[in-house]
Amino acid sequence: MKQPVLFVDDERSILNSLVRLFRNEDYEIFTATSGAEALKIIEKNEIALVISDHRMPEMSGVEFLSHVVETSPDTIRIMLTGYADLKASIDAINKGEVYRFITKPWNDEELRLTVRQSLEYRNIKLENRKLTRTVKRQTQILKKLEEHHPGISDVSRSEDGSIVIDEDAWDDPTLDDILNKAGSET
Amino acid sequence: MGKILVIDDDELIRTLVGDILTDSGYEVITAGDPLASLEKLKKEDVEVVLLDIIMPVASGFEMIPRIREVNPDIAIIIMTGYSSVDSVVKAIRLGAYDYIRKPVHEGELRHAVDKAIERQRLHLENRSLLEKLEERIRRLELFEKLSKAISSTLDLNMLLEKIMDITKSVIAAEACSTLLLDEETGELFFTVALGEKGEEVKEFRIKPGQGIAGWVLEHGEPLLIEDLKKDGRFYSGVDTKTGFESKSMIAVPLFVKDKVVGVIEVINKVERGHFDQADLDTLKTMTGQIAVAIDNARMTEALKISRAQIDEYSKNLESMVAKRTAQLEKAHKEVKEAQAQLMQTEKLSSLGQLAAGVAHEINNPIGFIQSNLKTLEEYIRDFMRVVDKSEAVVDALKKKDRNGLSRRLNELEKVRKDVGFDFLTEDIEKLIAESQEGTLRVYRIVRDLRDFSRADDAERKFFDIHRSLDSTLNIVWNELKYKAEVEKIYGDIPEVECFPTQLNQVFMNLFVNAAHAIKERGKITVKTYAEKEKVFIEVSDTGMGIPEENLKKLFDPFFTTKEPGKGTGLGLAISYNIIQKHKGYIRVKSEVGKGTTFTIALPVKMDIP
Repeated sequence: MKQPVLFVDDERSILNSLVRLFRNEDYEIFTATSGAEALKIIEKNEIALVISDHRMPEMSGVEFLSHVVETSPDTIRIMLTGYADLKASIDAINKGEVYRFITKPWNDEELRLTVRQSLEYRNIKLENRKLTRTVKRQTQILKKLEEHHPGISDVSRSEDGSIVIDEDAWDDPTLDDILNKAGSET
Repeated sequence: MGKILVIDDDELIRTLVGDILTDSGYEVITAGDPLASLEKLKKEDVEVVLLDIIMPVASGFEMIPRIREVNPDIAIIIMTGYSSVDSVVKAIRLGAYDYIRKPVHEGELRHAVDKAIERQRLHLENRSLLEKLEERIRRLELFEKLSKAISSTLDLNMLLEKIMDITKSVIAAEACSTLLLDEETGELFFTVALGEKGEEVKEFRIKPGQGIAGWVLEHGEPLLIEDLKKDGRFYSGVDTKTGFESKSMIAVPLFVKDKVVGVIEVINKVERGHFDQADLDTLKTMTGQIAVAIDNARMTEALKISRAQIDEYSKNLESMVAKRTAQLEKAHKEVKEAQAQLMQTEKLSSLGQLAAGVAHEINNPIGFIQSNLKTLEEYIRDFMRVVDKSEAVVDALKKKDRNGLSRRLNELEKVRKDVGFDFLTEDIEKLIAESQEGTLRVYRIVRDLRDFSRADDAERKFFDIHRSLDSTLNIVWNELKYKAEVEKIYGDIPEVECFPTQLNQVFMNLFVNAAHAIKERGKITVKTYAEKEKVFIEVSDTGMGIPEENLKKLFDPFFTTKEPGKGTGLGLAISYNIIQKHKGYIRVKSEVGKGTTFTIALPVKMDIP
């Protein structure tokens, strides 16, 4: 699946050059010339990454990115700006929680690499979160099993390494029963 | 009136003469013994002696010198029985005044005695007059000496020394000194002390009221003391120390303008030992002169000091003036340097505020131009692939290789699709057009910056204010565009004599301030018009306005309402200065919540050399 990325700059030529730069990458590219327009796009699409200018009329880049933090926290935020004083830079980090801060003029390779790396980072992060959730669920299932079959999570082995099964346990509910029950509880 | 002594050995004559003269009102004493008569002469105040010539023990001739010895002023009338001319001549030669003949004739006697007494009185009077004359002459001589001394020297100490020297010899004193009053302590000190122990005496200081001099100082009256031993006021301390014996003294106060400034003292009359009234009178008359001399000398001294000071001052004045001028020049230079520094700081600060806008504005086009060029490189590489394949097709056509041609056409088609050839051909034009526009923008910004602050505009010249406003607006545009739209209402104005770079700085300040005054979005209006040899420039904003209390301080240096680090507080102060330098003025009108208008008036000609 193509990763959706969004470029925001009040300057058309910048957007065009960025589209050109990423034309051969496997991204679905969105562009916007203002923060308001960009927020609308984010609302409708699950944007993986956004690159925004800072100095824009009406809504500044920092303002826009702070909105993104709230509405779409998993979107990677990169600021690409021609000039930023100390206050804008600090705000970008603290309020916009940007992943990278890149100045214009940019280095094409570096920008491409940064985007690739940050998307990778995002993917890993999301993957990690998904896995963590799975592990959590499985831990819960195990807990339930233990409740019904104390000692079940303790697999006992004979001296030659083979698994020893306690035959008295057969009268108890089946594993499927337990799993179904645990599944409906989570 | 004096008595008359009759000396005759004949008692009858003594009685007769005595009776006649007593009747005439004279007091008469008689003596029969010539030698005993001398004793009477010594005791009594005798004016006239009637002397018999022929007497036992001592003749009249013998007696004349002896009588004169006792008192040379006594008139001697001889009485002689035999009137020989010789004896009369002899007697008169010896010193007799007149003669009468015996027997004594009453009228003759009375006449002779009256005449003798009259003569005697005249003689005494003459002598007294002569003495007085001599005294006058002496004083005159003294004054001449004094005035010579006074005019010959103006040094007070030397003068006093001279005066004392004269005084000492005139009065014939053993010691003579001038004591002057020390205003601070009230004590008398010896300025001049002549005499045996003069130098030792100088160490003493006399307290008010102490000794004779102290008394004179306090009372302001002269004192003549014939015998000091008998006077309780005498202070013997000085004598005890020096070993000098003071017997008699005159002390006279020295008055200068009704104030006692010192005391003149003379001690011990030479030979006679004690002073008398005449000495006091002499000294008194002298002190008047001395006081004047002291006053003169003091004034002269003060004058001398003043003169010396004036000389010193005038000498110093020139160097002082030169020094002061140098200091002022230095200070002036420093102030000017500081001002220039401040102006530079402010200029940099204003430029710093613009730097964000300018940097952004330059970095934007450079960003996409650079990226586009990189893309173009890739495009060309893609194009070359297409060209390669096209050439292969052309090659096949030339060779009329049918099989090869369709294969190569397929390959060409595949590559074209691969590189997105249609997109490339379309986008390459856009890419170049956009990049060209970008370079043009960079060029314009740089040109505006140069226009705004180029060095060759530092001199005074006639300049188009509109050009100045436009180049400044271009520079600040990047700052303004997010805040306001700018409306220009340019009138028909002549070129103005000015320093264009400095005016740019003023305009930039006004524009940046206007933008800062606008919170969300507003409008900035720039209006120009000409009126009576003056050009007016109005910069209005629809910002928050300036409160009344801040309006007064608006042009004060370092007054700022911006948060620390945002503004220097110098912008308007420097603008004010610049406009003043142009012989113009800057006014402000503001309403809180509505906006602010700055009006600058500039004379077309600065009218200064």
